[in-house]
Amino acid sequence: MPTEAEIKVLLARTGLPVTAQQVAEITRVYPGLEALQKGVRTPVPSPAAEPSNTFSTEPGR
Amino acid sequence: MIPSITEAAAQIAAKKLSPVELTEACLKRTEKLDPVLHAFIRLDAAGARAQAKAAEARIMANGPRGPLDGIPFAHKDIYGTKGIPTTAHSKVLQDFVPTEDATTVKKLADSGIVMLGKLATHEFAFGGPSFDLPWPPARNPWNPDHFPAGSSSGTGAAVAAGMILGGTGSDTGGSIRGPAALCGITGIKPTYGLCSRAGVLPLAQSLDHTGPMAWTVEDCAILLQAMAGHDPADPGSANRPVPDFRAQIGRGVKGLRIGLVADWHETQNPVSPATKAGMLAALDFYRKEGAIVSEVTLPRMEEYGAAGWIILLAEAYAVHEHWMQRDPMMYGELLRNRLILASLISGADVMQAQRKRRALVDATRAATANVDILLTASAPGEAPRIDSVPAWLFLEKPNYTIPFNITGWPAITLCTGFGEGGLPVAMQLVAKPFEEPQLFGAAHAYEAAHGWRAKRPALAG
Repeated sequence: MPTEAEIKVLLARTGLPVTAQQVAEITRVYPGLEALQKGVRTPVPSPAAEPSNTFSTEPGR
Repeated sequence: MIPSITEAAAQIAAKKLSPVELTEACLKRTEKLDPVLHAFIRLDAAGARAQAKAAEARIMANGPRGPLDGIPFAHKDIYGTKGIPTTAHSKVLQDFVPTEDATTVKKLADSGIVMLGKLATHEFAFGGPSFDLPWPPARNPWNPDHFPAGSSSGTGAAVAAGMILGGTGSDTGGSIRGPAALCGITGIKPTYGLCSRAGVLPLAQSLDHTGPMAWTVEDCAILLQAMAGHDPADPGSANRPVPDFRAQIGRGVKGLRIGLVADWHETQNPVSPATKAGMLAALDFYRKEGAIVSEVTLPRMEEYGAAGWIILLAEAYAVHEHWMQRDPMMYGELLRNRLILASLISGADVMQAQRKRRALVDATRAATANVDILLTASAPGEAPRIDSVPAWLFLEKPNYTIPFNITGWPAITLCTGFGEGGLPVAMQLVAKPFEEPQLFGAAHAYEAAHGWRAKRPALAG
């Protein structure tokens, strides 16, 4: 679980103006996002797995 | 008595009910109840009266255009309405006046509906219930201290209370089906691409669906008939013929294969006793009516949730990035914090979620090869108090609805009774893509054999 200082660094990269209160709140809930990130990598996808938004040259797709 | 659309349409066609009188009754009810329920952001009584008068003249001269001619209706305030502010319930857009109607708004107007106004939503269909926005959140008409769910909260409350006979909703993770469940009405999230989203403010485009909410299953079928159809202005729009959505209503369920997704509500996110009893009673009803009932095991709810929420958050942040960079304080605290969290999602996260989505669609299709309809919970139980809804619930508990935003399959929520607190409980029925007629047929069979449509919230009178 990242610390508030680490979350502050991550948020600085987004360019969003955030308050100390917001950094604290995001730090508190960040494990929930980490669970989602883990969830989309379990099981580990094949390197060749196609995403659902695969590009198509058909008009309108 | 508050009629359904089906009932009102029959009376209007027989010239036994005047659209003007029906609209006046809805306006009177709205003026009485909305100070408590806050379902409307903008009530246009004068516009509604003019439309009702025009509908009445039209009907008297040539008969109704169809079953929606002269029916009181309203739009969720993310549906663009030409010349009428469309705010998304947000300070960010409180002065935004579209120059065009959304495609579905135009289609419904062409069907003859009488538009009473614009309805409350969670901020940009995602941040709610919030108490720091320019308008208060909608309340549940069964008990105004309780949550109507969201984000189509105003539509759920207004339909249940009889302020309107039908309304529009949008559903990205359950925003039609949740309010339908907690407000005791009916709501369908159609197949992805069946209804245009052009002109509707987006939450997350690859998961967004537009659709109707109303008191009964048949009412939803009638509304969907008016809303559905190919729209070149929506890149996700399906280009295929629109079927008769009422074709299978009244035909029974004999031979229909219904699969109960028991594991979801038994162990993964357990439901209340009343919710479970309602689902099992429905299953028993279908069995007795000749349906073939079985159990189906789908991927875990958390798997759909992981892909769904990563995609939703990432797409939503892309929609709001410009405004968030400029002035995040224009948003309410709830949505602002969710968008700040969303800003931390990486490109790799999104791509893995898209891969996961494809795998989940394939797994869902394989697991349902031998069934036509899935039966699941739509909410864990009755509506909680509006002041007790966790801000980050979507990170804490898996929900029953987002799996079908991931797959894009059509899903309908309908009332299955009432819980210990006297508030409605519901179930969700799901069909294969573009099988809405079958879905309406199955849902209507249950609804017609049970008495839940006879009971309205006490405050509706």
